[in-house]
Amino acid sequence: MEKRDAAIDSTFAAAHPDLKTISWCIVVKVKLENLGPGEVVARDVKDHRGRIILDAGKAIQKKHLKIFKVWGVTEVYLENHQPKKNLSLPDGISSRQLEEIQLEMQKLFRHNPVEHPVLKELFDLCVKRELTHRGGKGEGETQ
Amino acid sequence: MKTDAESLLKKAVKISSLPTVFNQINEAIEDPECSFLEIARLIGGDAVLSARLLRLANSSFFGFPSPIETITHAITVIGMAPLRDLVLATTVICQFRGMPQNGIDMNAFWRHSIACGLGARIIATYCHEPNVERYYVLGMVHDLGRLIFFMNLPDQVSRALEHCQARGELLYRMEGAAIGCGHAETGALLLRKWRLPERMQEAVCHHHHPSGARHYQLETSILHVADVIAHALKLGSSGDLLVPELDLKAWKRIGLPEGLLSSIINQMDHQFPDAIQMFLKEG
Repeated sequence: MEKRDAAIDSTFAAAHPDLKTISWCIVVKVKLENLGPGEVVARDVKDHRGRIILDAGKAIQKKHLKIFKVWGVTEVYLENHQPKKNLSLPDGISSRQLEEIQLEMQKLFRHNPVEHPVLKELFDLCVKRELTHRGGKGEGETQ
Repeated sequence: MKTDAESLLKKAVKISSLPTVFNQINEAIEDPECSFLEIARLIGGDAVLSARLLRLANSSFFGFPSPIETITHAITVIGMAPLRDLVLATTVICQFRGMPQNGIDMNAFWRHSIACGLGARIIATYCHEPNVERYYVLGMVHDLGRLIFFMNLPDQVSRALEHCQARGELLYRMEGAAIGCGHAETGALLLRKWRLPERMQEAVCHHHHPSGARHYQLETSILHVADVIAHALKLGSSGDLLVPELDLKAWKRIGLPEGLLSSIINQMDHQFPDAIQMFLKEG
């Protein structure tokens, strides 16, 4: 789900002098919705004007998640983040239905390169949205 | 038979000019000596328009804390330029009311236009653009060329549409071959006849190929991206049932992170039912 870009991150290394023995670490861009408290940010978190909201090397607290949202931060850089499992299926949706939805979406997006990050994001969001819609409609139905 | 946009518009006499009330309001707003009261009087002269504007001013579109009961109050809190754009958005729908439907589902058409307008308005807000209502209007008018096609060349368009749907093609790509001109340029020409600003004409004209815009690239790109999102969300339809090709340069020009797409979509879904109520409900 996340775009992975491996980079030698000097900011993170500077903020962690105890990690000097490690010459580099993998930095991953993670979306706000996939973040949890306790994770350590690898780069300064800034708002759209460049104002620093959280320094590199600090751990994210619950309140920070709210602050990020308020200031329009949508993604942060974390060190060696383990991505969460893929989409969780809402109640009343089977994996077969998920495949059906994905197939429908592929038809809908057939004129677009869905491997490009922005289109992949739009595609995934549309699948997720359709899942929620059908899940909501299918409430009370037995599978 | 091939046709060009100019001769198509000549046939559509009934829509070749905007209602006088819009032009009067527009002139009054442009006139530095015109007072709020005079503008309010002009709007107040049209009962349907004032009722709609008040409904809009009190909706979740603005979310003002206390009710707005008069047009003068609405002008004060919303501002003149945004108000003019909202007047235009309401006028455009009324303009096409009662037209022969000729194979187009008008409700689906306006739903697509409204979704696109909402998307453009939300993206423009994230881009810190002034007066975001003009983006809403852009969405409302971006596919008017299609309406003109359906009104004047119903058979040709329906045939082309069937052909596209059977082969999974995009209608806008084959309009040139099937009809003789594209809906985007036809729509832009209509806006020129209506004497609407050049930036609107350019954005509409290039909304499928935003890189072709010369002066108003950001407006055109925002409209383009909003159109793509509206198609992806399947909120209404103006003919094409597939997602048009996204111009990646246009996305880059807007300069927003991909992560923001989910907020944009959430807000569109949230505002959509309200906007439908306000703009499509009769009376």
